[in-house]
Amino acid sequence: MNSITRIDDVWSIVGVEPARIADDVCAFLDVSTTSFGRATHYNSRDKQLQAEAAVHGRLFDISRDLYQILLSLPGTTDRARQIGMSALLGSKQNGKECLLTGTMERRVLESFVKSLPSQRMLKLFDAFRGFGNEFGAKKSNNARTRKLILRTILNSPRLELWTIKYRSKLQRILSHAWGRSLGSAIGAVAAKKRRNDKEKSMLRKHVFSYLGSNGGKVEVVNLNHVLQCIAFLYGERDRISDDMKLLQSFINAKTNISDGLKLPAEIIEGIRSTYHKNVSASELLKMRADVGGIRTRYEKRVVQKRVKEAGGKVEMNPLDYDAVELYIYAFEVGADSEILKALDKKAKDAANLLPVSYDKLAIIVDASKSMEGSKEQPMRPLATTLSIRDMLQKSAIETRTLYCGGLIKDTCPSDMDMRSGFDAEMRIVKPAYETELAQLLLDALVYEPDAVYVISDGYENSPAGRFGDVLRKAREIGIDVPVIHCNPVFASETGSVRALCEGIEKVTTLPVRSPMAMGSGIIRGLIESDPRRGLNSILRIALTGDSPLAGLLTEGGVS
Amino acid sequence: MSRNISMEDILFGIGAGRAQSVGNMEVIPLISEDRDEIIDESMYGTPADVEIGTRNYGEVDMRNVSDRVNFVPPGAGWVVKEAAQDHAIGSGEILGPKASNLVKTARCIQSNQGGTISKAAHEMLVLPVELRGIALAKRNMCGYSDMWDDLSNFNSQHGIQGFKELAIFLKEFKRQMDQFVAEFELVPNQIGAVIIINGKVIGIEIAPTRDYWQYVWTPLIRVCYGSLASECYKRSSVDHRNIPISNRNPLELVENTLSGLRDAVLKTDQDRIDAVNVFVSSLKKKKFLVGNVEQNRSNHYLLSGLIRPDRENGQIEGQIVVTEKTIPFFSACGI
Repeated sequence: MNSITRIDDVWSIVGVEPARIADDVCAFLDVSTTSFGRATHYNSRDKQLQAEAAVHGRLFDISRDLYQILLSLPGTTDRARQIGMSALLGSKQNGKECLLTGTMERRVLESFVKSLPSQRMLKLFDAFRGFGNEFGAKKSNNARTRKLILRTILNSPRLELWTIKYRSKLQRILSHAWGRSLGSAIGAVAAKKRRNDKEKSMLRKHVFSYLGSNGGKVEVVNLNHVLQCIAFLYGERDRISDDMKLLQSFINAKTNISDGLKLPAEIIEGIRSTYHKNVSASELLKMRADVGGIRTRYEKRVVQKRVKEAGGKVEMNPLDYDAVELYIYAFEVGADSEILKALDKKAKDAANLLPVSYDKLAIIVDASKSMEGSKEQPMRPLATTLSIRDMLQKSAIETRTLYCGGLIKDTCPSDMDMRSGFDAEMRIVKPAYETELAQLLLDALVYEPDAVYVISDGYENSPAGRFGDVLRKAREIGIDVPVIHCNPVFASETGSVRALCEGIEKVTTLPVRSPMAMGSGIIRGLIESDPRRGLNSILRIALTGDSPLAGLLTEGGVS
Repeated sequence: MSRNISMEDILFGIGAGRAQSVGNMEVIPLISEDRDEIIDESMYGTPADVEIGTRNYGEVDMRNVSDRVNFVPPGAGWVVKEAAQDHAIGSGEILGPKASNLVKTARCIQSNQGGTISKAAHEMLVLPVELRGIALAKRNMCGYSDMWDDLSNFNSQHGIQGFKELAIFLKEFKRQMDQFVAEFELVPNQIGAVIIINGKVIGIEIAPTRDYWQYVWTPLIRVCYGSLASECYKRSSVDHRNIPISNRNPLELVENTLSGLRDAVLKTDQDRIDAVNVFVSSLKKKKFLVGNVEQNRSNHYLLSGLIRPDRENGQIEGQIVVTEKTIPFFSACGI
């Protein structure tokens, strides 16, 4: 293991030559920003998982610090963090050699847990039981793992919701943390109204000590809340008090569906299809919309169209969604000025995270037909493309945006306050026509920008290879403007993303999933071309300024 | 009795879009220009509206659930997930509004699986071009199993030994075929395409409507033509100079500046457009030699025919649907 140090303003990894680890770092950035651990056209799921584990393992062996730092970068997938947490919890930390001490690492882990959606967090905890090979997790029940699980679950303000939504999984996880027989005993004791000293001691040791910050004083109401949830999970459901509204709704909805309208969609739908077969799914959807029962971000977005058709309405706050989701929503339902304003804000926020800025930038947007994506993820490639376009437009003083194909979508309100040079009419485009990028590249080069960004799936067909031909000729006549190809589509045949051209200097192809992940992609390009500078940049960004890790370092007394 | 239908008539109201080319395969999109004036698109449904099932081996039962006239293209096939024998048909089918038809000359394309297909709107494919021609030639003969040897040969040519089924090919070559679908793109108002491989025309497809074309695009490009293209790609290194539509002419700069480069790009683009126009003009001079009417339903007539081989291209065989005044459907291919 190698630690990270800083001398003056230069961050480095002790005893490691940057050029030697550049490939491993780049491979890790590719995996940590694009891999979802699924089968592809190219590889089976098992092969994907093996390759993914090997990439994680290599970086972990180089430096535990660097591993955590890269995992903390914006745009890292939840899956990468899940694997990372498994690796970190499954091995001992030697604080003497590391920049991040044991306490800091615990807080890094806690921040990773907080960044995961509930179901992914619980899936990870469930994987610690050691069944299957999810996230490369081996059976793990050491003190660190146990504390992380119990503190996260028992302290959560969403415990009651999780209790009904993830009943079996949560019970399994708690039983793993406590042990099966102790878990059952705690469940039975939690349900009691009167407890003897031994039982009180049991709860103090195994439940209350994990509540509140540092096991401090806990309010009685929370304590009762937690105990009732535990009792419910272990099947003791007769003495649930009225203030446990969700637990009560869950129990009552089986006899009266109206009592369960504010329950999560899948729960009430399950109850409907089992106990209330006379009520249709669309009737239930409307009933839930009418009482404000559609509450999650995801559901609000995806059911808009169906609720509208059923005559209902769902209020949603565009700022709760990321830019890619908002564009997908805009394609499905249309965009009002609120959504466009939210997109504008998201673009500014993402541009602030970019490690580079430009005076003059040319952006080529591929809006050809193939950018509409697959049946499984319709419009996602173009939605990603447009959100990256927005961010790039905010990252330079002057930009020129060129479109390949595409039709203007007539959803753009005329009252939008667009910044100068922002092409409002082309804000939302529909995918159409063939991919002909070469002519646009020429237009971009004539503009004399600092860099040309091409956001495309890499499938050029009018004709294939012409982009590379033009760029090669441009290089021959002395034009060396960097060209960065951002590709939002994983291409099975390459096992990564498809490049528009190869073997030409100053051309980088970056896999991009969202604007927030662009920073990692750009740094990846930098590491590839100049490992020392690239690594220094990545460490500086992660460990200084407003980053969460910088806060931990300051608290931990490291300078 | 045979007669000629000129390709000019078949392509009436249709123009050519910009050629799309990847590797050795080119697609010239056919765009509806004045065709709306003669063909009312609201008259025609798409294969998505056709439910199919099998009653016995070699018998495909079809039902058009829409209230529009529908065509099932020649060489249509159904590879289903359920435990049932996959089937394909040789001849295309005209289906009137809400009409049903039992095709007794269908072929089983999966020898090692029993069972009949339950009637539903199953996803349609179009047989690979090599098999499509064979199926068309056998369109008037019964015999559910008499394409098994052809399937076996076809699979062997693609390196798959001992299988008399299409499903194995679709599985083995899924990646390449998915890629081909991604490589080529539909353009607005497209109602057909000319497919060229290694400079040779291997398919001409014209749909009755834009929606119809959108539906058949994937089955055609993915399996019917895409499979052959990927196979050819493996076998031969492509010499672009031999491709008449100028797949990718080299850029020749008169002046070593950005504007010189732009001129070179514009010139090659114009060359490509000119080449496509010349090609379509020469295509319009060809004749489709047809035989007798094979189906007469809802005032639509289906005929089979061929375009004779010439110096550049081989023989192309297929089917056409005509009415008294229009030609709403054309599908022909050949290797």
